[in-house]
Amino acid sequence: MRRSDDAELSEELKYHFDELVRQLRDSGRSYAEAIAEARRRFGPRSPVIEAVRCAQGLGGADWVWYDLRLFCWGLVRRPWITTCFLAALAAMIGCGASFLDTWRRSESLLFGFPDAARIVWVGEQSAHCDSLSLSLPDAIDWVRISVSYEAAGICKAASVHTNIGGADERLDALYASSGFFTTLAVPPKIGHCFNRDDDERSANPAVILTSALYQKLSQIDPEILKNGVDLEGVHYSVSGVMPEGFRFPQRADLWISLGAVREDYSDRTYHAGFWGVAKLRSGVSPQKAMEELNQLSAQLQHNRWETPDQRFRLDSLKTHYAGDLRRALAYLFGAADLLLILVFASGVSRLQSLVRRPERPAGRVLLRLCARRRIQLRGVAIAAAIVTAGPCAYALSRRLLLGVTGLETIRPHRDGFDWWLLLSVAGLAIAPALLRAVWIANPRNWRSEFPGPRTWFRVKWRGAEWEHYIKVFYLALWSALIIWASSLALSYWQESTRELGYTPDRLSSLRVDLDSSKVDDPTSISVYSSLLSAVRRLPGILSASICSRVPGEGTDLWDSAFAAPNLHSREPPHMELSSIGPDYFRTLGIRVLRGREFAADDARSYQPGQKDHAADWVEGLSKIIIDEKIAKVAWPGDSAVGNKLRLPWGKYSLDLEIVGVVAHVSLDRRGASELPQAYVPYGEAPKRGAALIYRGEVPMARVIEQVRSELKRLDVAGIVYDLTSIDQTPGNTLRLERLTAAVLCALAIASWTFVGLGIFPSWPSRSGPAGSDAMTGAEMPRPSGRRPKNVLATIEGCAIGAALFAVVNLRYTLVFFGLNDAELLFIAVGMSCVAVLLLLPAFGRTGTAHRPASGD
Amino acid sequence: MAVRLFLFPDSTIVLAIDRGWSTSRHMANRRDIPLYGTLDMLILGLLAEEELHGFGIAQKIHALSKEELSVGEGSLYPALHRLEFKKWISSSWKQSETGRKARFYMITAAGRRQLRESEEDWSRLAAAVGRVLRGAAVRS
Repeated sequence: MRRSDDAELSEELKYHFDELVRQLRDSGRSYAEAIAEARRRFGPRSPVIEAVRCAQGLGGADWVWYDLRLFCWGLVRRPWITTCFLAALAAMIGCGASFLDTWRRSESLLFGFPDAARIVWVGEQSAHCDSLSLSLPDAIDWVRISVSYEAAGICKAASVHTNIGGADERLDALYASSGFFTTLAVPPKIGHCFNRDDDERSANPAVILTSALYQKLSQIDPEILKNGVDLEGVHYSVSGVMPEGFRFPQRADLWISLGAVREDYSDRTYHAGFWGVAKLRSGVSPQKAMEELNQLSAQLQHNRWETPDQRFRLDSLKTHYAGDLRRALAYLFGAADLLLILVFASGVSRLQSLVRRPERPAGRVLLRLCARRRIQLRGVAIAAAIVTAGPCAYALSRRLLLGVTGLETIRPHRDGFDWWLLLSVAGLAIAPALLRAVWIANPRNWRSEFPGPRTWFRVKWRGAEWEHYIKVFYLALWSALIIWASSLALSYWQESTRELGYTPDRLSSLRVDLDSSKVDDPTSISVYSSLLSAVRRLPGILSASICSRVPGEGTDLWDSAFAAPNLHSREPPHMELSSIGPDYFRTLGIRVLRGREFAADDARSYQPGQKDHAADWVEGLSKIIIDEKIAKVAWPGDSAVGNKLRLPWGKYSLDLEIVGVVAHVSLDRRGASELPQAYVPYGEAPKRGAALIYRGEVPMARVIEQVRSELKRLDVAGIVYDLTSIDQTPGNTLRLERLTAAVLCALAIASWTFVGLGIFPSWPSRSGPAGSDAMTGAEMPRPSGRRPKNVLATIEGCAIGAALFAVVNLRYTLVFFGLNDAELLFIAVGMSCVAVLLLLPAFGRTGTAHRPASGD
Repeated sequence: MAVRLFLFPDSTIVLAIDRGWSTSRHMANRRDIPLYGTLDMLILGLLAEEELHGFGIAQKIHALSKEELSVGEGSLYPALHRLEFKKWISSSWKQSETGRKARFYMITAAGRRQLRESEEDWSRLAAAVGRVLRGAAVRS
């Protein structure tokens, strides 16, 4: 019907045009002159068709189509519409991407467990660490005693070595009790899960394989289900194979029965990495389960050997794995706020058009109201937008976020909330829309090409002054942007030039994981010493050492409390402990301020196996090197060398002699808070999976080959992994800040360049009507009749929008550099485009306040 | 110099003094006098006499006003379709005097009622304006 109406209207207009041409020819003009004159008089046909459609009244779909066309017109002619659109698009894309990311983590990771909402994660927490593991005796007692759960299990992460097809491989494993699989209620594809007998220490060790590992192993041994597997010299029977894709909780390759744990974890005070997974009974809330845990803690009466405020912690599994939602909330808040602002703007526009129809009852009421009370609808729009939109947007976005993801809470982020992000999204997204609403609410800005009804809705403020304030606000906004960009750039420069404390130049590392079934602690010490000697023999190696933690890595963190005679605090301070070999400080270029480095003969002198493992390990320690932070705090103004530093490890507490003081180094991500550091000799504190760190210009492949040759010579099974060039680590950790600063600086420079080019007009004189205003996009009448040019303003708007897009979607801008999931970006873009199309009526109708009349 | 009445899409009639400026919409100046709803009234008045097509209506207005009034296509056709939407006029396709098919408009009963009301309103307005102008002339 629409096409036939358009066709008939076109036919009608064509008839009129032809009759006009005939009339002009009858008056004596030539055909060409008649055509030219008729075209001049008639004007373009499309605006006439548009006006006719409006006069006819449009249906719902026609309005959307009309608004779409008007929106495209507005994008070209009105820079603020461009800005609002791109800001909304950016916010929506960021929102959509955050949503998807959160959803993926909260939903897909859980593999669709039955009654997933009732599954909880049990651990411990303290003032210093919000996530601590359980001790094994505590975990076993908790499973046995608690009544709030219909199923409960224990698990502990581990790694094992195996040989697959002649190649040594390191597999991620998980020790799991029988209750673990009962809780998750995911049946295996083949075989069966662990049963209660498998939890006993005396049971034959068993494993459950992932589908991927099973396929890999069955290619070598098709009868693997019958024959079992050998891991680190121990034979395991294969109980079952899990369905494809199931790798809960940490991408485990296989699950090992709890009874196969060989180490002695009987000490209740030893947080050995065990965690609890349980399913709440129907009707039991997490709060009630938490109360039971607290009672259990008192009942068990175990000593909290580090800090007195340790307690159980219970998290919904979804909340635990969904991570921090605040970034998603910030994006969603910005998008919702922008949408509400535009709704207000559109509402004001509609209200204004209603006011101009005195034949309608609502229009007459509004006219009387405005005339009598002198209500300034413009002011109402501003006040409503500021007061209402913000809190509504936050409440709406929070409800949406928690409702959609099914989470109970927004998990607090450890490093603090990203306030800059929230302010940038909200502020930069809101400001253009707010200005647009203000501009629209001023009736002088509509249909300025012919007079409107001024008598009943007089604008109290003169147009020139109002534009003055808008310009001031605009310049203040961009000044704030300059300041923000500058501060970010300064912050990045300060971080990138900050003293690291070590020299990353030509520094590399690799980890060697030894087969613990064959290599005990004394043997591992000698093996690593041999490996170190082998690496040092390579030409081009300047120095090498051993360490438990590589600079820039977030793994293998060893956090310990410490005490000193001069330290008196309610809670003992904490430090980061590392196990290092001789020459460590020389290799990394860390200054030794007092005392000495560890030497080769700084090794343990006791015999293992005489006491329990923990006691054996602790008793071997005698020396420690501290950094200047600890020395300043514990021995201010005095030399710390020769003094004792206490490690309050409960019944294993010990005092270590300080043999040296070194400079503090930045081993963590730049800008993150760092604990003071201390070092114990590797010869006294061997750790499995230590790293070889070296400085020199030798190809890494050559070093790996040397290490493997040495392992073969020693007849020791070991895996070489985690090959890292440390000299790139400090720069890589700052890439996000670098990109943010670069984008914002480019945006600020571009904006001020446009200002310099004269895109913004001079201050308007107060004597006459305002001139053209490229900033607000208003086309005010000019005595000369010339139309202001908005080309540069439109380009500016597009540049602003593009920069906003990049900043708001910083993480996914990195996707274009191949650093993350590209498909997540495309899905987010698609969702956002749909969302923006729904916004088009608001965009389009805000533009109808200044829509083209005939002949435009 | 000439006085012209410009009819705009919302039936606004603007009285403007044509000093030879551009006849674009930017020439609206302080001499403009807005008169609402008059285009609708003129169209209904013409169609009350006979059926006409769009071009014919424009020509009739121009001729009967002694070339004082000019109705642009951007104003005329939206007004015609608006009146048809309100069911004050109806339309049909017929053969025109030149032998081509054209859409002819005719007034409806509701349109005649609306015409009567508009004429009464216009008469009252014209009389009131006249009284004011005569009174001002006497005082001056």
